[in-house]
Amino acid sequence: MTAERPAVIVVEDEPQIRGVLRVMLEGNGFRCIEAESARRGLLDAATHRPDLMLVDLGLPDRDGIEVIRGVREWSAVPIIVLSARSQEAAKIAALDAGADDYVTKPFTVGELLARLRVALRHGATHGRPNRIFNIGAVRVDLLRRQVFVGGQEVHLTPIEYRLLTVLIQNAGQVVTYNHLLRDVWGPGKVDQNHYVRTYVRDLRRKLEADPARPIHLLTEVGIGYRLAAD
Amino acid sequence: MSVWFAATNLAMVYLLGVVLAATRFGRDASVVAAVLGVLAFDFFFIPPFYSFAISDTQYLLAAIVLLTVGLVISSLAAGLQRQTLMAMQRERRTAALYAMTRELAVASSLDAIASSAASHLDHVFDAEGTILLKSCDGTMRGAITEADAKPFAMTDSSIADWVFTQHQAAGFGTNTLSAAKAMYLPLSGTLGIVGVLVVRFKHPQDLVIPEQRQLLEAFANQIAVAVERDQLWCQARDSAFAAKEERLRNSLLSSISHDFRTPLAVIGGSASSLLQGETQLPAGAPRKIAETINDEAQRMTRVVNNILDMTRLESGPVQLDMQWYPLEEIVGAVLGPLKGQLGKRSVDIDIPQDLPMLHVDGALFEKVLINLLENASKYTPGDAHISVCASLQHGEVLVQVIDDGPGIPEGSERQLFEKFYRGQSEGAISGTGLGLSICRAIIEAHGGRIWVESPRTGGVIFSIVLPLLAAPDEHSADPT
Repeated sequence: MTAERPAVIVVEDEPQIRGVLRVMLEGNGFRCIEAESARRGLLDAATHRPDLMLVDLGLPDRDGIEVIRGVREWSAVPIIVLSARSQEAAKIAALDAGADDYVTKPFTVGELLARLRVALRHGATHGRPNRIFNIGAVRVDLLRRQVFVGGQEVHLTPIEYRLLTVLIQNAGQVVTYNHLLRDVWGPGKVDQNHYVRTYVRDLRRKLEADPARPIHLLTEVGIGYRLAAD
Repeated sequence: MSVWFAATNLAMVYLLGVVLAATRFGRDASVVAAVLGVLAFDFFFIPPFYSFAISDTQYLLAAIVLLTVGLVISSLAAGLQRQTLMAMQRERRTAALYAMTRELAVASSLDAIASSAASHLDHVFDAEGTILLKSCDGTMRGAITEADAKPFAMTDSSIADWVFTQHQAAGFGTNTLSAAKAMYLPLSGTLGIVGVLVVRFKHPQDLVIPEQRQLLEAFANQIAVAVERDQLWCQARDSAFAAKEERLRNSLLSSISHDFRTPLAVIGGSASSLLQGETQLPAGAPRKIAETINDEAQRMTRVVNNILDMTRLESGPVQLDMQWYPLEEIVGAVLGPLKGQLGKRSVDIDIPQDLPMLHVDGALFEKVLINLLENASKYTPGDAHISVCASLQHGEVLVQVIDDGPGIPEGSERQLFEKFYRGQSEGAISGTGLGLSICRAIIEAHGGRIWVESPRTGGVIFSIVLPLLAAPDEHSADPT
């Protein structure tokens, strides 16, 4: 039975936090492998072939981002970053280096599990969603390129549609401004974050019941956006 | 001539000439005038006329008296002239000293003192002057670092060190190390030596005049007094700053001890009752206890976050990550996580659709709104109405957070933004009293203003004004 439980490597130097994570993970059907340093984490990632990795950014021997880069050289295993508050730049760097998502310490078990499940699912489908994507009252037909809100078709501009599809491909996960700019506008528009914000605002006005209180297109201030899963 | 004047009266005319010569041309000229006068008097007016022979002893006596009086007058007059000259020189020196003292008195910084000393030394002595001070690592350093780097490079720091420790002048023109190119004078203030004045003369021969030497020492004294005054002022300022820091530290400590002790007591108590075993606890109690622990942990997190934010904002100029944000996006991002704290309080959002984007540091501006909304939820009853509205006002963006709670005490509008100020005496409502000072620090870093009003009708209005910058094109061209 144990073989079927998804294995999670926790790369974190604080033993107390490792302890809490072990309790959280093992209590919810995961197997927990602890690594207390970046070197150990990279080694464990190669030997244990985990289903997911939780990587703390502040490690004693090396930066957590180096673990992400190292693993990404040969593996697409989902990686979730554990970060302290006010580390927006570090979070963005980690996400752009290949991490799939992040949780900010202190986190709740609910938050952590939701991120883990999304990341695992995403890893399994490799970001290829079904033909029809449903979220709340919004239904997106990815084959016919049609968007419905409460049964009514809504017209989206080409950019808005492309933005929405990138978010759908990463549903439930945070998508950085750079990621969106690269996938929607192409490589020449980096550092034009306000384009993304403008189009997300327009999308919200079309898709959200109350654009000022979005429930689908969530903002991660300073980092990017997250399309709420389910 | 003797027809009209008595010869003795004529002698007076000669005396007048001697006096004039003495005052006008000095001692030597007046002696010559006196001798010539007596000879001429003898030659022309004393019989036998037109000869230097004197027949009458009475006249011989008159000639001797005339000569003596002339010589005395000439020496007195010459002395007078020398004194006048000295007085004039003294006055020039006093004026020079006065001019420098006056400038030093108003010099508000060490740089100003050093540069005014240098310019006066140049003006009065035609010399280059540099002030060296003992720096914290024990070496002698120029008072002005960049502007005076060149002359400082030419000074000998070992001589300066010696002068500083021995309290004696050295170098050129002194008995010690007189081969040096410059003169090193100790700057002695009332409380001890404050530095070393290095003077390099363009015309070294001037220094042989003792008055020049004295004047230079007077200059050094005045410079020393000014430098010492500046140092004392800096010390006073530093200690006032330290006292303020000390006060802040104390209020931080008392705030932390209160805001940490309570949740820690609750968490510790709750956890220990869980440890006692579930059998002794009524059904449902473990869950309640866990909720309490969770709540208190979150409360502590907020306190720590606020303290960290304040430390970060105060530790130096804030690095702002300025980007263009639609205001509604930040408001939307804030309201989600605050849902629990806001409870049943309604929040109206009134942001015009065409409001231009704001150029702000998103994460910091989010913090401002979080703090204001947390404040509104902490200090209002559970059914209060809160509104967030924005508008354009005279080319600026006005953002307001309004509640209809009990308001704030009159006259506390400004204190509210002070660190550790609490609207109500600490107690039931938790907080560090840092939230609003964090808001103010952030908004001021953005070049904006924040203030609070409490209308008579009740409630509180927090207003933020941000400068409106020309927003970039909102919509990109279609990507290719």
